[in-house]
Amino acid sequence: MKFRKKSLLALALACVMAFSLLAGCGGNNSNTGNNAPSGNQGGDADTGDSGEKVVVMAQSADTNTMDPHRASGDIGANITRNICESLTTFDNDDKLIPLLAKSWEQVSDTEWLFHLEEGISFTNGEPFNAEAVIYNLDRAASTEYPRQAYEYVKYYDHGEAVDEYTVKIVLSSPDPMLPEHMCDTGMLAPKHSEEIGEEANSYDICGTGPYILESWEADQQVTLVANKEYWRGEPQVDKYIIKTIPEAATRVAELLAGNVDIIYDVNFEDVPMLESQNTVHIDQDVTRRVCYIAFNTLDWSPAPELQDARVRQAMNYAVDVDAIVESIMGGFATPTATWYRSDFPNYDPSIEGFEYNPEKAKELLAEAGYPDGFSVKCQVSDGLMAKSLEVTQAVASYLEEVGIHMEVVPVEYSALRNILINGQDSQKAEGTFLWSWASKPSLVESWLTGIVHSTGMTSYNAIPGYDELVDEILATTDLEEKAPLYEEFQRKLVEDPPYLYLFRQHSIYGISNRLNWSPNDYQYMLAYEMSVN
Amino acid sequence: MLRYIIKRLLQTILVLFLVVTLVFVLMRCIGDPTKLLVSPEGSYEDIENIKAALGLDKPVYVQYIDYMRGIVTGDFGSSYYYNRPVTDLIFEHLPATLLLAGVAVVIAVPLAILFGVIAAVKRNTFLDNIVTTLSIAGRSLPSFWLGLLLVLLFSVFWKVLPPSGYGQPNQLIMPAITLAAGLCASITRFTRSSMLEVIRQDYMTTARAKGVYEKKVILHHGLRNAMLAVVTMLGLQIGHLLGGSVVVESIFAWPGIGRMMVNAILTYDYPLVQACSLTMAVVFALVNFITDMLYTVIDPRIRYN
Repeated sequence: MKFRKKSLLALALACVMAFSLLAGCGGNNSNTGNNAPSGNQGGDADTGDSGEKVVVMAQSADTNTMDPHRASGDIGANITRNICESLTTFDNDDKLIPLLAKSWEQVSDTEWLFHLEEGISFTNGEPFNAEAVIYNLDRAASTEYPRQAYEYVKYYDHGEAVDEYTVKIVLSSPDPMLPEHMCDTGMLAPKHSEEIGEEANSYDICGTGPYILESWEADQQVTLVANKEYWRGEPQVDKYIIKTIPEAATRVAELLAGNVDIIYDVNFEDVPMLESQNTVHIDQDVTRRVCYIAFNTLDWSPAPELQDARVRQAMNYAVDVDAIVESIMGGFATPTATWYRSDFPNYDPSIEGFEYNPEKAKELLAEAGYPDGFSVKCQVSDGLMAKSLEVTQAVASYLEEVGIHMEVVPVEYSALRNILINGQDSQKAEGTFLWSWASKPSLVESWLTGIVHSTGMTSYNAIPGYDELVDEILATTDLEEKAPLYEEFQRKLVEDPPYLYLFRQHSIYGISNRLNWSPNDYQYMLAYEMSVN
Repeated sequence: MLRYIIKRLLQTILVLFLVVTLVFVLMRCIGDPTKLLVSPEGSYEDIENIKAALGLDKPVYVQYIDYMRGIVTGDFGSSYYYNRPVTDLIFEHLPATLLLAGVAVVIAVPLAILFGVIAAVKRNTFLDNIVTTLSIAGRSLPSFWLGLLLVLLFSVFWKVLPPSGYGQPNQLIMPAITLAAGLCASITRFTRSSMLEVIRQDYMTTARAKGVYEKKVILHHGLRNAMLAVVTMLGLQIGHLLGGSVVVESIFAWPGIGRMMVNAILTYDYPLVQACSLTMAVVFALVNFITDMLYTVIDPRIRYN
């Protein structure tokens, strides 16, 4: 009989295990709903029993927050930009255009007036007005919680409601580019946001945009539904689903299976295969991210040779960036003269940068007193961008030809950020490192303060002259007076290069043929711009 | 029996305490999460603000005491990265992993025992060679390769199964098979060798001599004795299944705890890593406990007093 009892015990344990499994199933059934076209094998992604138009986009990671004022990068912005709108935005040619603000004017050095679109309400019915703008700017500028690195936060003083639809923004120091800076602050419905509290804003947001957040299943998918009363007209796509699929090969498979309409960050090796399919096509855009190898010229730099401008020029001459772009990046990158992008103020297209000239590189090295070259290390993380390691190794092999031995040191991405960001005192950075930087169209300040000025958080540049020039540019508030300074700065980037300039990254998209949409350089994927055949 | 259970419980609590403390210390050695949370375009003040907001400006021992006090009251803190209570995140992600691991076990174990017994009974025959070859293959194929191969075949070529996703039964098939393959292979090998040892025992001959059917000899006298070792192995393997499912979870976009934990480690999300490792430890302890209880069922001579 003893055995019988134990059998019962075993049975009970088995039941407990089975029950926990069932609990697992139950949990997922309840939150999956039937909105996903995922079960719709091999068919079009626009499932929908009622013929509603659904677009599915897949990205490599889920956003960490829906809160547009917290940092979530492009992954988050691709979602929240559909829900919350900003005062201004950019068009396809990187030109500033109105969105929630229909016009703006500078009334004094530190005061700006924004005239708002009238009669708009948030999707919960709250009116969009001057008070709402002030609430959002105050919230975005709050230091109580971690926020996005909005540059205007440093000099935003307060906002005043001049009337219902006019808001005056008062700054503590002048900024001629304030309207541009307004492009990345999404507007939340104030009452809603206040009532639910700071933490709930990370998963429950309400804006004025063309889409409403319907559900968010963490690490699975975000579902947005069209805002039928959207102030610029009803969206053509009824439902926009953003899926999280970490594995690149799986994203491609989902696109080919017809379950997903848009994937991005496609490996260029997959491009020929995708192009041969008749259900999908490839598109690309030039991102605002520029990739470069930074020279560590701080006084403790492990490579003192880099103090000499001729050495840094030589390294730029020694590398055939065009060939690297062609062979390693598959042509999906644009070589740049310096990192100074064409949308930046007073961009001078006549500055050509460095051509590939190993002979000149050798001469310069000899002149600088290093005819036999020298050794330097380069820290790189494959988490920074696709092909980081390969690109760095190619640069190293070009440098080897002029006698410079560059040792490539791979570092895990989080570890590299820990080494580099605010890491000047810990002195763990090597002589060079591969890094990239990006900013909104036409905004160059974050580059100057972040990677050029010696006090920048990710700057290892102590080349004489740069700090003074940057300080002067930042202190000058008149755009016309700024122009010659920007031009001088661009020339200095070539004459005394703090970086080995590489290229602007492209993003490769795989898009279903049933979709009418093309990515733009401002990069966020807005379902309002999409339509389905 | 009750005394034994209480003793085990106290041991488990000690282990969990050690896990929490160890992870607490180790996480603080590997790096500073504020540098990952701050945008590179930000300022030094941003770093200080984030530190203060997360409570990382306090001395480590104060952080530790705060954290321990929180655990006792059921407050495991909020994730730095997601800005949400980690308990919510765990309860969202754990069911997916349990479901995947559970189905993998249900697929793998019966097959493995069947294959193992056949291979042992038909030792050195063609059948045995096939089973052995398959199990070595199953053990050696990396799961990312097998997973992607399945996606290629069943989703891209034949279009019969969805490549990824969670929530519908057909989305479970490929991840479960991928995860089950390795488990099935190990258990098969283990059952086979364990059975081979048992088959040589005198009591098997005795059983046959007294006229018991061959089938009964193998199943009741043989397999039952061989199961003891197999169950031990299984208990250990299930622990690995939970942690090792991260690759499968990534390939098939399965929203499980393994993937979340790896992301948490990569973003130095201290509270989330701590909660994930604690959860894993609890599951592991539970599985071990169940294994120990199963011993008494399989072998009535074993008693815990």
